[in-house]
Amino acid sequence: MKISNYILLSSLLLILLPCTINAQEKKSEEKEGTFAFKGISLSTDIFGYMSSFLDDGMSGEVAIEANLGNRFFPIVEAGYGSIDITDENFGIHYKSAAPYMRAGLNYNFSYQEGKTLRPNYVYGALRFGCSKMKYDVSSPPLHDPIWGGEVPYSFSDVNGFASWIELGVGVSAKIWKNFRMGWCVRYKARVNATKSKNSKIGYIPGFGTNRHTRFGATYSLIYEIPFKK
Amino acid sequence: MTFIKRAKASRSLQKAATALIMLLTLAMAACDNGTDCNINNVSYNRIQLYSVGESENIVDGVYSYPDTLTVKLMINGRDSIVANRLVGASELQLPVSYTNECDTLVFEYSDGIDDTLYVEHSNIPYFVSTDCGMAMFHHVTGLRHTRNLIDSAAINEPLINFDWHENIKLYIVE
Repeated sequence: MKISNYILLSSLLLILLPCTINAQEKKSEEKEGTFAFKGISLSTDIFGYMSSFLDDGMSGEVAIEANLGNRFFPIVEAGYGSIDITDENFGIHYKSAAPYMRAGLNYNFSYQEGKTLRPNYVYGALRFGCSKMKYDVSSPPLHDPIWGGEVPYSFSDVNGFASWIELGVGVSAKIWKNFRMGWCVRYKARVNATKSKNSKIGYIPGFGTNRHTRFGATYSLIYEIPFKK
Repeated sequence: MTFIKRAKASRSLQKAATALIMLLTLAMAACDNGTDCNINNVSYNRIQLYSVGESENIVDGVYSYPDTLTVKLMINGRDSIVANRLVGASELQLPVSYTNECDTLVFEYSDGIDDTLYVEHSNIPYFVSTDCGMAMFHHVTGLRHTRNLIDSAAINEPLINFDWHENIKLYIVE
């Protein structure tokens, strides 16, 4: 296992540590609603539409998030990512479009016991994501530098699957009535990505260019569904 | 009072966790640029030499052919030297044809004796990534050879790609 994976696991423990301590120390508070359901919010990521300018594909994404005790926010994100690029250096054409899904938890670092949710708060994010895709890839013929001759290269509808985990830090801010906006910077680590006989996956929807690790960001518009106790 | 102390301790822990996560994130970004391109995108057939029986030319488990060794590739009917008068050779890294299904390697020894090794293979054009481009990998399917100084040849790892492993074991009679 790579060192970065150990670091990720350590960070995960750090996120969960305060929860564990509090769970042990304050069992009585659970009765008052440490995990009490406080509401649901819907959101969409705006940053994904703009990332096509970074040669990193484009994605549209929506999410549904539950508020448990103003502290824990389990979330499911679903989106659709696409890319259609021709590389300038190698002349490789790569095309793919597929759905992806992430599930995980936001943890409110600004949580204060006995108080309502702050208008602005900082949170830690943990996600597991996956995507099943098909892709087309073609390139100029491969030239043999010693024997001479060329080999054509073009494959369509190649199947692929990839999964990854994300660790991030974000901010959520109230802008008007039930609307919030927020950004989240995320470090993404690929868990697995299938290989076919003639190719690796070039682009993973929801993750980006297929590398061991990547940075990503979301900028979300959030709507909190009014909830009466 | 105890409740206030606990609350303060919990908040301190949360702040520390936040700071640590940010630091670790930056550290991981600094350590790993995420790309894993091979330098020249060429895969080589790696042939390791072994002696038949005991030899005084085995040091730390690695056999070195004691005399001079010249290796030629047959390219479109002509021979081309790829390793000239090597002394103490233990491993050879040789290119593989993109289009042929059998490469012919000629091993010339110091005393005018030579051997021919035929490496049968399939070719696998491979998309590595948009960052790294294309490569040609190969799959060794068979070996044939003459038997002057080559006693035997065995496929150790049939897939010839960027990974650093022995593809063929070549057993030499000294």
